[in-house]
Amino acid sequence: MMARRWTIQKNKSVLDNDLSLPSLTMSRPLRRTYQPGVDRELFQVLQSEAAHLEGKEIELVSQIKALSEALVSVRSTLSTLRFRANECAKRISPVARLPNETLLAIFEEAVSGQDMCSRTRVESAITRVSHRWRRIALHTPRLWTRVCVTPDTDERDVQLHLSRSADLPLDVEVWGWWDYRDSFTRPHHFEHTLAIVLPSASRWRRMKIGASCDTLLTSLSFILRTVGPLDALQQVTFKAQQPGQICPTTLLMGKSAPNLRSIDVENIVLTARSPCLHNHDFDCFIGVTHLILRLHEGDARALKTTTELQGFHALLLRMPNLVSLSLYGELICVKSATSLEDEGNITLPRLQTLIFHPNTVRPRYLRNLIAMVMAPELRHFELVYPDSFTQGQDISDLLLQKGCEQPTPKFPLVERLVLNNAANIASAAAFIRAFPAVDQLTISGADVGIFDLRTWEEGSWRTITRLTLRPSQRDHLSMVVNWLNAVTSNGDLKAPLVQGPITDCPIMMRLYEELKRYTQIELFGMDSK
Amino acid sequence: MVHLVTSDNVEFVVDKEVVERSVLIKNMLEDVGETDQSIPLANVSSAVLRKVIEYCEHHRGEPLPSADADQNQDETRKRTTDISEWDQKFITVDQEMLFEIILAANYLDIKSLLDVGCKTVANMIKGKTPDEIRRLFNIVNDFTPEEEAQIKKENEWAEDR
Repeated sequence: MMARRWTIQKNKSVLDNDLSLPSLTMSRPLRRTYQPGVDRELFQVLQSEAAHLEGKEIELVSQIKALSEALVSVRSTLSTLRFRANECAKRISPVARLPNETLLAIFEEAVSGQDMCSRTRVESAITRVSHRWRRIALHTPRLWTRVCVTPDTDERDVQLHLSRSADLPLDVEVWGWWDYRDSFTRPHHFEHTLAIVLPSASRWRRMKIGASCDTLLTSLSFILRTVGPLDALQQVTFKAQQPGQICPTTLLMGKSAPNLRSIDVENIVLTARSPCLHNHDFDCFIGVTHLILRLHEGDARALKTTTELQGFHALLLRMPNLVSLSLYGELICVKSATSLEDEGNITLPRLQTLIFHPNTVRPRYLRNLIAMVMAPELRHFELVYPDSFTQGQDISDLLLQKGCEQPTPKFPLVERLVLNNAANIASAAAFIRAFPAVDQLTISGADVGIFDLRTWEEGSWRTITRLTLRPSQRDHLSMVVNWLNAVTSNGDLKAPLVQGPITDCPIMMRLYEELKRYTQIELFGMDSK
Repeated sequence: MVHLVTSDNVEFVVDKEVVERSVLIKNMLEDVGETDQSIPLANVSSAVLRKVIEYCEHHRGEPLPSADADQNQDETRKRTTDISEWDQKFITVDQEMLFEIILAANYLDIKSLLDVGCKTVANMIKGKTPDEIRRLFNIVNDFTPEEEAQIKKENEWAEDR
């Protein structure tokens, strides 16, 4: 007969106050037969074990309660300690006292004004300072909208900027691709780096291209042609690497950027047959309001980067909404004032700002160009010749339209006039008559001669409220003193606020003091009332 | 004249035109009208208020930034880290005072002063590594070693350069 065996093994750990149950190992009999003695024994063992576990349960519940209370107490103490630690940190670090929005304003200043050539990008450094700084930086997508494509650009950095900027418009900069030999040492490096940002093209708001060699510029120009519509693009800037480097006309964007507002390019060369100026394509620059054309000068190579008048005219015809036109350098070749096929005028109906900086006191084409421009709504006129001992070219006769009994101003609504070496004593009267509505005048160089009392007509410039003098000579300032004395003493006009440069020269300081007798003076960098 | 009382109970009597560079005080004066009662400035100490008044005195009469400019600041505001010579000299103070001035400008709502303070701190941050920034401002590195390793990995390309 097979022996029937019940064994109960108490797990040792139970005795050690563990939570696990005692393990019961039962060898079941093949055939159960009634044996009261054995079952009684088993019942007693089980009862005893249950009683033991009940006691254990009570003990553990009590321990849990005690631990819970201890946990609450620890949490409370921790919170107090943390608070005190933060308070302490604030005393140690005054920057910790700043509210988040002020800290963010600081971050924005630092990010926007950083040197992009610097090894550490500010926004990346900020994320690694402390939890708080990191949280603010990562929750502010606008800190991450500036993306640079340079030879040192790392794909992971660009990807971080693209993702952290969320869906915000991007400012993309391509620069530093100086040497075409990079293409040999790192084949396709440019294309590969550019390819990282191309998927975000629909988010590009500003595009700045510069300091790149011709080979890679051509490549860039080709790639941009295939990118597709840049619907968010508002501004394009191009800086040439050296004199003579031609700006690809593709960078004017034309139809591929329907929302473009501002173009600022150096060394653009346009002819009437330039591809961006197709005969019937008159709406490709319709949104452009600001156009700045520059010439990168330095040596004879600059001569090959001038634009034909017909090309310039064709471009302006496609910009009916242009409000600001600035030309830096002699970059438009206007051989004759009547070289256009139509009436010989360039009419810009909405133009409000017209800026000429010819970079030479004897420009070849400036007079012809000014003679052609018609801008009835012009409010700001600026003619700045270089600082020189020689007077800039006289254009005063072009500012008054002849024909009627009395010559009439060509730009009668101009309120802000900026001149440098443009008006001397001989031409002063013409300038005063040509801009009768001037409110703010900035002059320097020989232009202070405009206030020569010998040419001053009573009743002129009654609207002027602010006169800004850039660095000038003593006799010029004394001329202003005499002029103010004359016009204020006879009640001709209310003295304008005069702004002038700081100087250590005692004579100049004395003249400023004299000016104070007539009006309020502000010196650049400090004021003196 | 306007009477201001600082957190350390010092009273300042300031020209209305000067003190109205603070939008907070300007609005208060507009709400309350002409009064001889002092305005308590619980968050500004006398040392800081003295500096703030010096700034407002210097910039007396200059146009205040318009509300429109604030609204469009993101798009149109030209951010420049240039600070005028006088302002630079004015803000050349110890760090404690610099941040107190920023806090006061923020509290009193003097935008141009806040700008000068923020630009100054921004210039201090530019070009520095996280460690240098922490040392400069006494900031505790509260990243755990694991977090630090993760962040370092995120920026390892910059470490390699």
